[in-house]
Amino acid sequence: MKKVLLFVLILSAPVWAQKDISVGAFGGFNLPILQSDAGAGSDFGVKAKFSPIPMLAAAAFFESRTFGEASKEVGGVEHTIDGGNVTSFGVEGLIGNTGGGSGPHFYFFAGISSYKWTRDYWEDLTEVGFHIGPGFEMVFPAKIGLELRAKLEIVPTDGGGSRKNGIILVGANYHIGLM
Amino acid sequence: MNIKTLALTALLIAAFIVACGIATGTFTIVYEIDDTISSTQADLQYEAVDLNTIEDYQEHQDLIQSVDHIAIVGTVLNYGNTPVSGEVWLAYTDTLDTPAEVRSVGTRVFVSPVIPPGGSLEIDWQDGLSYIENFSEIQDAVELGQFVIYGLGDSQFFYVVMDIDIIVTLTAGY
Repeated sequence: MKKVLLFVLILSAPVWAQKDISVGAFGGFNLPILQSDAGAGSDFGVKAKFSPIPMLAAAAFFESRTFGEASKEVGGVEHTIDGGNVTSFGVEGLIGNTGGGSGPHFYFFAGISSYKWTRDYWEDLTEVGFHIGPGFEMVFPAKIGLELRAKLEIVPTDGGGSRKNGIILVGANYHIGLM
Repeated sequence: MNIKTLALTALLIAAFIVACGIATGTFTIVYEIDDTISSTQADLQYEAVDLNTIEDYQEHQDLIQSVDHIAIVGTVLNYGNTPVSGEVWLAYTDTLDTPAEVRSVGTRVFVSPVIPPGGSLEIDWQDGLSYIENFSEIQDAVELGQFVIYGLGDSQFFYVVMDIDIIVTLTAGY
């Protein structure tokens, strides 16, 4: 494991010294985990990231998501239910190669968000969510980066359970840079 | 990493999993009512619901964290001569004989829009959610697993036939 981490750090050594500010937009898939009342949907959002030191960063984001219809066969009749929409905004911390500059950047992130799920005929589910995951970004000399992120989101609910989502995102960032 | 550190890490992970309800899942069960519920003001019919007959429910009953939503789906027919709303009442006894007794002892948990004489209403999952009333009462009933539902009309004279099923969504786990 240490060798893998070392390899990643060496691979991205030229960008280590870069402090950075970046802004970006992303989109992807929203995949409910162990939720039979919601289907897979889409996810779009924007974010801004600040890296005051090369290995650590903080980001703020806003996401707008959908869930797909869920279906259930009852007495030979297929019933469906609308998945609804989610808005989520929050902050996250990043560790790894989080600075700017061209080259590959691999990092891990963890964050907290305000999660609001709206569905017809239901009370809105408004809770605090938590998420973790890995991310990878390839930044090109033109200061544009292409990014791939995988996120596991856990939203504890009132009854003692939780809603869990797997989210796969691809995005593009513009690196303004600090130095 | 020594044994103590490993044990502490495992304990913290377990505490996190339990605190955040991570080891839970949300699943949907269907209670299919084989016979129609055909009721008039003089002759009520009921269905004794036993969710324990559903394997998924039986497996998870002790682990239920929340009853998230309940829908009654199917068809309600008005065979009477006046417009009527179909109603489903919840009780814990099957000895109620008159609408007055049901209204006195039971709790109304479902009411349909008004159906014209000779008309029918198809209720899908989405609509079935919106016609539910007294949700906390039916939540409790679902957690108990056994209850009785009566079919009624909301007028003095009625003849309603309900070909309905119940969809319940639960969150269960540790």
